[in-house]
Amino acid sequence: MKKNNDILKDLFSRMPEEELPASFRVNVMQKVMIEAERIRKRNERIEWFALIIASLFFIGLAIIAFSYLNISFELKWTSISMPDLKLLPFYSLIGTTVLILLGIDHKFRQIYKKKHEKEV
Amino acid sequence: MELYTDTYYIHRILEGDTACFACLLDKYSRPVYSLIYKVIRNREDAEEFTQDVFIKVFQKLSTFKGECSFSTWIYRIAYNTAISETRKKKYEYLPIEESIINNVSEEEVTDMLGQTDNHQQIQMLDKALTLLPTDERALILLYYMEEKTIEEVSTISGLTESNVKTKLFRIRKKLFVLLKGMEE
Repeated sequence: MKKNNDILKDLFSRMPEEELPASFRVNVMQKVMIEAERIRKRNERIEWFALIIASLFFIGLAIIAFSYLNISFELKWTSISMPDLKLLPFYSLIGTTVLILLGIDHKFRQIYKKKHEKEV
Repeated sequence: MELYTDTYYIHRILEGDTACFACLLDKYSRPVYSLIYKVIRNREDAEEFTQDVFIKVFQKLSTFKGECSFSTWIYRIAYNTAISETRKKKYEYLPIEESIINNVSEEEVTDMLGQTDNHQQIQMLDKALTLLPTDERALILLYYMEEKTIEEVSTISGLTESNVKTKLFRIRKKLFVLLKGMEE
């Protein structure tokens, strides 16, 4: 398809571009700034989450290593030895329950905040 | 002359200088708005969808790998936004029979348009565009108004190059029929 000597090309080239409202640039930039802040916070959360997971992994690894090698040592002011692991399921249950409740609390707070913002 | 390239602004934005997005906005907002408005024919909706396009551009900026030009990439988002929105609302268009499409030649239309003034010609074309289905309207606008090549139109629309050529050929014929019909 050749555009040269094309009647439609000539017609379209004379078609005026539509004007945008004056507030458009400001509105979009405001939304973009909000979006940028949201992305920054999300990345920050991901970084924290990764850090916590990595820390837990290494702590867990250390505990397993201590447990298998039956290592215990004494520091000048205290002694470190493997705790009784019989209570581990109980503490895990408590820990998981606390995390789930925190998550539910966070979700409810978000819903409340959204509702409140709409009302304002 | 352009002071900085799109790539320069994209790098700055990805490094955290969000204000640089205003430069890309200044460059592309008007043509993107023009395209969307001419496809959907409603100023409020066109403004809203153009805003959506630029928010999507900002959100997905890190996924832009430079496989096509930045302009083509923005138009692809704009095209998809406009087409998906028009699918939600059923727009009416004038169906044209196959037998009529080949009945009008470009010469006839050129002669007919020669008898009208510039302003009237543009008005006729604008009216003829509204009678086309929205996807066809978008394709012809990309090719003629935004001056995209067949390859670029193919990248933007997701159609093959041969399909784009065939479609454009038929849309031109349809426009000729519609323009001729306006004279009668």
